[in-house]
Amino acid sequence: MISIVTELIALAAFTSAAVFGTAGIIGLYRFPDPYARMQASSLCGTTAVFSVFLGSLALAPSWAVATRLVVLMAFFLVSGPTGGHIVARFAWNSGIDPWRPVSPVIRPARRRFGGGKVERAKDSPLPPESGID
Amino acid sequence: MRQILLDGMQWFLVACAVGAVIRILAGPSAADRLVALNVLSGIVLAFLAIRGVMEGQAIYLDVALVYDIFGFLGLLAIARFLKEKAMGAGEDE
Amino acid sequence: MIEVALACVLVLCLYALEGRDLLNGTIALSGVSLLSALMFYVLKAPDVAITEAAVGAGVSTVVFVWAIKSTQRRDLT
Repeated sequence: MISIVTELIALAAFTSAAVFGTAGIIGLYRFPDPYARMQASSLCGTTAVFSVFLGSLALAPSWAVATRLVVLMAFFLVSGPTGGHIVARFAWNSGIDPWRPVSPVIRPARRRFGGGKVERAKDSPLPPESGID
Repeated sequence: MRQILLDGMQWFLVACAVGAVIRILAGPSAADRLVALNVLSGIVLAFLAIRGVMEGQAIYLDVALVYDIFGFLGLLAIARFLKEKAMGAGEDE
Repeated sequence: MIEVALACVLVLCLYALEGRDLLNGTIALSGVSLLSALMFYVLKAPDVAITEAAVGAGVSTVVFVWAIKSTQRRDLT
């Protein structure tokens, strides 16, 4: 009896993982800009993977496997989004402009954090001497 | 039913991994490649977890945990030390 | 399963060899070590997969990045 319930839970978790996975991978190709792709990839890379963990936790054959899965889920929740943040910081520091130019209100904030001189990407929408930067 | 679920999920994750590898190859700038690497390591992690549950032994999940830690470390090293600027926007490949 | 991983490893290795930008080569090699750890895992050798994951994704990527940091990033050959 118990196996029916766990399999239903796993089925729900795996279908949600499939939905988020396809959305993430499609977003990874459809978006024009590293930042937008980052949003799609973190959607796919954390949500889908976490629901896969939940589904496999439901199907775990023994307690040893289940406890390891819980530890893995805990650590993945820490390292997944942090990895996304690190990549975003890498992209921002290497002067890749967002697809839409960031409104002037946000731009000066970079200087306060000592963001350093940002070399404009070749096809950047901002005019060279826009003075925004 | 259980076996179908696990096998179907594995093949789906392999398809997502191939999608991420194609993005690694095609990505115009290094930032896209890092994004794709992040996705790829997440997908491989899920694949390891599913395979571990299918095998049933506990050591299989240690691989996933070790891989998660060192994948994060490698990504940290790449993003921490290197910048796009030294190479321009990577458009002269 | 194995054939797909092998095909991806082959393509990533070719890209790492041909690319001029060493950073992208490092990222490709990190992907290669990831997929080879996956293959060891699927072939039911978890301890080898642990070692490959630890060495490939962790140490060798850091060593490559360190080398790139002290030299320049463009492959002149």
